[in-house]
Amino acid sequence: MSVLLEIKDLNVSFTVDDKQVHILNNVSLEINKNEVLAVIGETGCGKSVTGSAILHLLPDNAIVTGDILFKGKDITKMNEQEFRQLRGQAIASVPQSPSTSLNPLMHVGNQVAECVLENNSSEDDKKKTVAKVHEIFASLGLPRGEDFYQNYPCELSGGMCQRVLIAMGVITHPELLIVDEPTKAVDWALRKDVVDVFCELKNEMKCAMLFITHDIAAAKYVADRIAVMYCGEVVEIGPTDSVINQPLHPYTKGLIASMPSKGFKVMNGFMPSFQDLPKGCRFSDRCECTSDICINNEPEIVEIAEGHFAKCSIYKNLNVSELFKHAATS
Amino acid sequence: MQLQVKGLSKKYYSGFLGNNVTDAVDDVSFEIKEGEIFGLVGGSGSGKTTVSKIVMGLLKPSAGGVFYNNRDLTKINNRQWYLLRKEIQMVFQHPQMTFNPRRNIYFACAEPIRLYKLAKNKTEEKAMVEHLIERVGLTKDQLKKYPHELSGGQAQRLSITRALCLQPKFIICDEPTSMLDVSVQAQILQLLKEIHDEFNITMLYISHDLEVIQSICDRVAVMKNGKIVEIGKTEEIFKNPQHHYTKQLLESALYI
Repeated sequence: MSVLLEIKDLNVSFTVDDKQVHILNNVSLEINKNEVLAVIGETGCGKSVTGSAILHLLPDNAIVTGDILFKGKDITKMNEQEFRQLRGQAIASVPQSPSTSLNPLMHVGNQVAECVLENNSSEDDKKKTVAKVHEIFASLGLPRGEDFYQNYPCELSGGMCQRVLIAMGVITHPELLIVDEPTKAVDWALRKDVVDVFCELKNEMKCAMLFITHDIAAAKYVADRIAVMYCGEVVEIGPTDSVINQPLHPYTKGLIASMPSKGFKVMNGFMPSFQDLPKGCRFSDRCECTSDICINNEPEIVEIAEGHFAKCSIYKNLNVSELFKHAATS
Repeated sequence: MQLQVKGLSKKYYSGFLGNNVTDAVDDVSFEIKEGEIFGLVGGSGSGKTTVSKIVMGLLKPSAGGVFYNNRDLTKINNRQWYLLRKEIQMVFQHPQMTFNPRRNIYFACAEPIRLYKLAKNKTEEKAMVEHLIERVGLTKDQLKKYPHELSGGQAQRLSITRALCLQPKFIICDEPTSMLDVSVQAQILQLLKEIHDEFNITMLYISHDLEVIQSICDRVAVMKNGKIVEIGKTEEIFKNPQHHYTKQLLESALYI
């Protein structure tokens, strides 16, 4: 499988009151073609910042270092004009909060068509685009057929608005779709529908996705691989099944154990503020098995099983046989 | 029977001469026993929050009554409500919006104590606030902060603190964890459960998240379009749902 997007040692800091706040710390990810990578983590752990960094949508006070390679080309070094050719065409995004992301004064159909049409498009092009929009609406299971094009966002429910946004993301047939918290603003029954839509997209459109979410169950259904983020670091990354069923990093274990269906165990403490982080491992003050190494040294990323990495000092000095023993006991 | 809701309806009129009638809540009846956690489940727009607001006295119903210890809550005046608020409290959905953004956290926590004149002087008031805030797992230095400086989980803990400081006998929780992460959700729910066990508080817990309802509630009512379609013990409803809407809700669960 060929690599579509490769993020190498991405660091993002923001300048706040003449001080630099370091948010993302050496984030490295890869997305292969036709693969869905879910990024999960708590609010404020830097998931959305990663997504915005790929799309060049960070505010002006952000300082980005590191490489983001899209099909071998470094997109962090591109200027705005070059990147505009990619954004919306090859890399598209579905923003969070469907209720506030749509223009309230435009028909939803026109908003979707706007993504492809240019100022000087001919009448013929416009007609073709309108037909295409109808086609996409039908394939996303939106009701009312042709009339739906003429609706305003205020007339639609949250789930429908979400699907209109998805339509805007997929109309250009992007190679990479960045989806930010699609299940956040929708309720229980709609959440299943939204997850189903993404599962279909994955099978039919064959586009790669970066699925940013805090909903572990949704990530499990859609994703091929899962990356767990904590405090601006990727602490664990691996295939969906092994991350959910055999979590390695203590944070992932805690996160999964706090699901209502998985026993409701409570993790101690809160996520620290970015202005005063622990010196060594960022999880050390909440972790159950903290030792001196954790407090003083930053852990390295270790490959434990095939394609399954964890950033934790427990696994650093263990050799293979001990690893299996550890996995069996924990 | 601590709380009885009998034939509650709420109609909204809109359009020309009020000809369009929307039944937000339609003939809802249920009972909550003392010391019970009662769950109310349903999709968005099914009238869960309207029911809770009527019970709380924030809305007047079109028909029906709410009986708290055999007193009709819909017919009493503001003066009597002032006394009853000591017993009935509510935790709202958006924690950060329930605080006054211009006053600090100490003021927010001390306000109910001042309103009900529970403390004799400033030092006693301070001691009470500090005791409460430690009860929910926050530190004293948080008291000087303003609401926007708190995270969602901390703000929700504080709104639980405020509801608790009058030592109520009945708490209404309106989707207290719908805006929070799973790890914080577990912390908040554990806190609610501890409080329930410690003070034997009756709770009306409103949520759309079936997993949460399953793990904390004793009895559940399922609402759809303003009507209760099914009501019963939590285990029975989850094991053997009767109504097709309940079945549909259970099928749309994403299991891990």
